[in-house]
Amino acid sequence: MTIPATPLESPDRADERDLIARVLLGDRSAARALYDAHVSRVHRVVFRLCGDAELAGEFTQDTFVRAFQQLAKFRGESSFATWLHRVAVTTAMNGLRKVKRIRDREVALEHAGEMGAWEHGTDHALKQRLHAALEALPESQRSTLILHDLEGYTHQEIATTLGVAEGTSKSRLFMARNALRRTLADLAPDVQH
Amino acid sequence: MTTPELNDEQLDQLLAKARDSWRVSDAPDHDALWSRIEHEAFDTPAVQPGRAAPGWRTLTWVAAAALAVGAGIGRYSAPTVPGPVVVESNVPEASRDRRDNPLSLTTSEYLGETSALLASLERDAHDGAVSARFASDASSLLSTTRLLIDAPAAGDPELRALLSDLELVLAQIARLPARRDNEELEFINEAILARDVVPRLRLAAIDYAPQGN
Repeated sequence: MTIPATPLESPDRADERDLIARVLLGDRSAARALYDAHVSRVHRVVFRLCGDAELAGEFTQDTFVRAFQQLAKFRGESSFATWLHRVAVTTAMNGLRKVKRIRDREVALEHAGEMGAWEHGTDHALKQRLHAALEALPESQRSTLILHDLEGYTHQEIATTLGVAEGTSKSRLFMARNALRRTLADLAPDVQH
Repeated sequence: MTTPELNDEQLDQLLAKARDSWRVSDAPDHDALWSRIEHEAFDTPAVQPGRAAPGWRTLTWVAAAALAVGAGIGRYSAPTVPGPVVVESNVPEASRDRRDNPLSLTTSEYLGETSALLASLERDAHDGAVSARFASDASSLLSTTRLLIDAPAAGDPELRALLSDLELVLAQIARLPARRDNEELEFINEAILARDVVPRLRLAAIDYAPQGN
């Protein structure tokens, strides 16, 4: 895998511990500071998982509400960012199950290769094909691929976050990548070896 | 002409493009998102820690009593004068069919106990603690669930759908390790919420409440 993992660490953990302690005492400005430090990254992952701006906003809010309400449970065994992202992914995945309209956006995988007028050598057209193929993946495979290949989570983190076995995460990624390889096979000449 | 293969390295290059171009959000409006977060996280009163909560068996009795009172109120407040045909023929008959079911007493008790267990579970998820009794009680209820699913008398499609959902939920609870800070518990509660298990359970419990209660 050539895509580097994206670290979930935040820059200054000592300051963060202080902020957390203050939030637990009810200090809203400390909560706002924690929120400001993490909201962009949380929103990015959540948007990547749901692909809908309105839902991403709702899931981001739900994430922080839950995180602040359950902050007393955070014992610092992992970084706050890692803990917060687990809350974010769980919130988004559970929310997505309830939202049927997202599924309506999905295009059947077999049709993803036929989407749009395909003009070899055009970066825009290549991205259109790529995006359609990603949208067409089954949700469980797509979320695993997003977290692992695009957001840099380890299989262990994905397994814990999604409540599945590590082997399940690996097999879902394997299936997702195989499906993309098949669907996008004709792009091979346009991608450097 | 054969279709060229897309190897791992090429796929990774494509995914690198996707990382920068697919489902990339604009920066969120921090202030707009914050107002709801601040209100819900800090203005909503939290559950008082340290206040002893009743056990789920106590809640079973409370649920059973509530059901009995609810069924009684429903029966005595029903109009004595025959109403429109649609009211007479649809809703009450469905409930009567359910109460006439030979398994209705078992079903009613089972629904009450399961309802109480799930209520207890939801409450304990906030505290982050899981008692070992949850697993054994869920295991026992799981056996009843399977008996009811397999029973020829359990032909009510709504009940069967509910029982199937409960089978999944109870199987998860039965496997829960007993420890504090149990995140799996939270996950189960999310699933219960997503499937609307509790409201359906309450409706079914009312439908199957035995006559005379």
